[in-house]
Amino acid sequence: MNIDIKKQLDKLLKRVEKPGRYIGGEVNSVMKDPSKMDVNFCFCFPDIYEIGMSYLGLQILYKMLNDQPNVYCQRAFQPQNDMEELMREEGMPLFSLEQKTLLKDMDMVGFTLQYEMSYTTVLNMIDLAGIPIFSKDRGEDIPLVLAGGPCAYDPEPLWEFVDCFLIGDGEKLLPEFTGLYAEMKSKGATREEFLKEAVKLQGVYVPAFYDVKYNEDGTISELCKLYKGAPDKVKRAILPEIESLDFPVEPIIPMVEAVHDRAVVETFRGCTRGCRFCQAGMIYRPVRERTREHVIELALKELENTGHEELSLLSLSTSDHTEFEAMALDLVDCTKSRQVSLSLPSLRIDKFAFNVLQRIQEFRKSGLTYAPEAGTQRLRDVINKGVTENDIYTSVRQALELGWNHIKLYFMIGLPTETYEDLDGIVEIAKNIRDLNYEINGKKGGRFKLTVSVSNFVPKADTPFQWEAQDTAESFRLKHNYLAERLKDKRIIFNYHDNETSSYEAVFARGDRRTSRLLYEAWKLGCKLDGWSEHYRPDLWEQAFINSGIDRDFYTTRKRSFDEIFAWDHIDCLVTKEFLMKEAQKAYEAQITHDCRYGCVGCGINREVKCEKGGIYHA
Amino acid sequence: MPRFVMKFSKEGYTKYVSHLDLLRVFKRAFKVMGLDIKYSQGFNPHPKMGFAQPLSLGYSSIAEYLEFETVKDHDPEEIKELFKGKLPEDVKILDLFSFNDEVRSLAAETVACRYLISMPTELDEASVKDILEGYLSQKSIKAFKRMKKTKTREEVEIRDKIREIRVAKDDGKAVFDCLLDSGSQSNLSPELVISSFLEYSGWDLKRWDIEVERTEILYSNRIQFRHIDKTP
Repeated sequence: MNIDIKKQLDKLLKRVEKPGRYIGGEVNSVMKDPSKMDVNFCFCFPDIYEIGMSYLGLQILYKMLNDQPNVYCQRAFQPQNDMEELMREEGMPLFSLEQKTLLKDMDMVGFTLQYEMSYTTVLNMIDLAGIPIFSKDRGEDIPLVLAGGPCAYDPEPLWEFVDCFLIGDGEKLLPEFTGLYAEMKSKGATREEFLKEAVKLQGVYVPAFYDVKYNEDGTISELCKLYKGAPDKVKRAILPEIESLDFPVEPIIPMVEAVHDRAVVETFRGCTRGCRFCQAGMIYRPVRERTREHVIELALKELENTGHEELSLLSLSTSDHTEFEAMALDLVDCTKSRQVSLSLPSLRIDKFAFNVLQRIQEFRKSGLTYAPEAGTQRLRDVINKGVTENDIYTSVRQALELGWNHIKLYFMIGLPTETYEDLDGIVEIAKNIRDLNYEINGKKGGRFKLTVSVSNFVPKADTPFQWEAQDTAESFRLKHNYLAERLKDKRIIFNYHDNETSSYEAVFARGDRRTSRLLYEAWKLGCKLDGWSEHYRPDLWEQAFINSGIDRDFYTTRKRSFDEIFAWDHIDCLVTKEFLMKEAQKAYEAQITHDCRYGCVGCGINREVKCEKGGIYHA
Repeated sequence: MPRFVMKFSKEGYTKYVSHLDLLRVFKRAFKVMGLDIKYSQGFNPHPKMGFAQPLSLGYSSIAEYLEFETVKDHDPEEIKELFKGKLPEDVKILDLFSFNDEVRSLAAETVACRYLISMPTELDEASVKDILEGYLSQKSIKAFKRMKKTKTREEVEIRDKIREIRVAKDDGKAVFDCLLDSGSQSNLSPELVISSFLEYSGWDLKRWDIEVERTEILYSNRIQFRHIDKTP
C-alpha cells in the first residue's frame, strides 16, 4: 500500500463526479496483503465501474481467484473522463480499487472482452496504467497483459497489445494458469520461459508464437508457428459440467449503484437452438445445467447474503432449462414471500413461460419482449430462428387478454438473403399486433404501446454466417428509412442502431492482425468508451481508417469463399468448421436445423466433452 | 413503535460515498441482518430510517446519526452484534441505543453542527489566530451560495449563523473548529465559511487541499440522548 498514491488520490477524488466509483471497500470485496502473494492479478473491465460491476463473470472469477490462498485478484475499471484527465495531469497511473496498487506493479492484468466496441478502452487502460502499449516493448518487470471472454475467439485485432489470450471457460483455465505462474516465478523463470510453458495448457494463445502471411488480394495465405512448441490450433478450455462449480453467493455489493443492481444466478451455459447468426450459441456449447434444486439454493443464499431486492436468472435462453417451469414457479414463491422481484430475461414466450409470467406479474404487468429477428418465415428459416408468426400472435393475444399493454419486438436487418419483402414482413407483424390490440381492447385500444427495435446484423466469427457480407452503411440507412416511414403510428415506437458503429464492430468481429493498426490509430486519436453515445466519435474513427490505410469494405461487405483461411482459424471453439459450412448451405436453401435436444445435429462438440442434452427429447 | 438511534463514523475512503448511496448500504445491511425494520405503507414501501443531517460528499465524520424503527422491540446490543461484517470497513458503529424522545425526527431537532476544517498553511498559530479574529470581527460576512431551485449564485449573509470558530495549528495545517447553525431553522454550510475565509485571508488554496470533518451534531432540548453519549 503506497501512502503517496493514497494522498494523491485523495486530492483527485475531491474534484470528480461520483468519486465512490474509485474507492473500493465494498462489502465482500477482498482484502489481502499483496506483498505476501505469489500472484497479484488485476481483473480489468474495459468500461466504467457501473457497467463492469453488473457483469456476473467478474464476480465468478474474482471469487475463484481469491479462493486460492497465494493469489490476490483486485479490480480496475476505465475511469470517467474527468477522472482520467486529472490522473494524466497529475501523473497518477491506473490503480486497483482494493489496495490502490498500481497495475504496473502487478504480475498480470486481465481484460474481459465482452464487446468489440470496448477494444479502444482496453488500449487506453493499458496506457493509463503506465504499461507499454505494445506487447513487444514489455520487459521482464512489466505485468503480463491477458485477455479472455467471447470476443477472444477472434483475438487477432488485439494481437499486438495482449501478451496472452485465455480462450474458453475461465473457471477451468485461470487457476491452472496462475498455478503455473506461481510455480515458475519461484524458479525465476523469464516471461518467455513462462509463456512457452503456458501454451501447453488448453486454451492459452500467445500471438507472438505465430505469424500470418497474406495473398496479394489481401486474404490470408498461411498461418504459421514461430515456436514449434505452440499448438497448431488452440483448443478452448472447457468445463465438462458446471453443477459442481462454486458460485459467488457472496458477491461484492457496489455502493455506487451499478446498472444491474440485483442478485444473479447462472442457470446453464450453452444453447441448443442453433440460430445461425449467434456466436454465443456456438462458442458456449454444450448445454451444461445447474439442477433446479441447486439454482434455488444458490438464489436463496445470495439473496440472504446481499439483501438484493431483485433476482435475475442468467443463461442464453432462460426457458430452455430442462426444469424451467417448476424451477421458475418455485422461485416465484420464494421471491414473493421475501418482497424480491424476479426477472427472467431471454425468455421464449410459449405456454410454459406464460404460466410463470402470469404468476410473477399478477398485479404489475410490465413489458413483454419477443425476438422474431426476421419479418418473414422464409428469412426466419434462413437464420434458423425456430419461431412462427402463429406462435407470436397466439402468445401476444393471450398477453393482451391478460392485461399486458406494452409489447416489444426485436428484429435484425441486413441478414443474409434479406429483401425488402422481409422488411415488409416486419411492418406487417407490427401492424397485426397493433390491430390485435384494437380487437381485444376496443377501438381506443387502451394504454397499448408497441416498441419495434431493429439492430444491424454483424457477421461474427465461429458462426454459420462467418462467410457472409455485411450490408453497406448506405443500405442500412435506406432500410431504416423504409421501415421508419411504414411504422409511423402513434401506438408504435421504432428504434434502430447507429450504422457506423455496426461497421466498426464488423471489422473487429472478423478482424485479422492488420486491423490492430486501425485500433491503435483510433485510440491514438482519442477514441475510448465507444459504446457510449456521449463518448463515441465517428469523426475520429473515419480519420483512423485513413491513417491506418485499412479498407473497411474488405472486412465488412466482402463475401468470403468457403476455402478462405480465416484469421481465427487457429483458435478452435470445438464446433467444427464443417458443421458451420453445412449450416451456411442449409441457410441458403432456407432449411431449418432442429434444436439438437431432438437429436444430435453433429456440431462436433461431443468429440471433446460429453453432451448431456443432445437428443434428450428423442422426438 | 420501537425506535433506535445509531451513531457512526464515516472515515477514510467512505467519505466519497454519497448520502443516497450510504442510505442504500444501510437498507441492504438491515435486510441481510434480518432485522425487522418497519416499512412505510403504500405502493412502494421503503424502510423507515433516516440520517439526522446529510453529510456533503468528501467530508469525513465521527458523528453521524441514523434513526430507524423496527416492528418488534430489540436489545440495542443485539442489533449492534447483527451489524458485524455487514458494513463497509470505514463505517464504524460508535453507539446504538433506544430512542424514546417524543419528537418527529432527529433531522427536525438538529440545530447546529461542529466541523473541523483543515487548511495547509506556513503561518504560525498566532498569525492564523489574528487573521481569524479579523474575519470574525466583521459585522457582515457575505458568501455566494448556489441556489438549488434557480441554479444561480446568490450573495447571502452568514455572520449570524457562525456560532463559534477557534483555531489551532497542527502539523502544517490550520485546523478551524467551527460550530455552525444547522437544520431547517437556520443552516450554514462549511463551504460558505471556507470560501468567505479564503477571500478574506487571501490564502491561495485550492478547494481540494482542504479537509472537512464533522465532529458533532447538536440537537434541541427536546432530545435527551446527547447527555448519555459515551463517545468523546
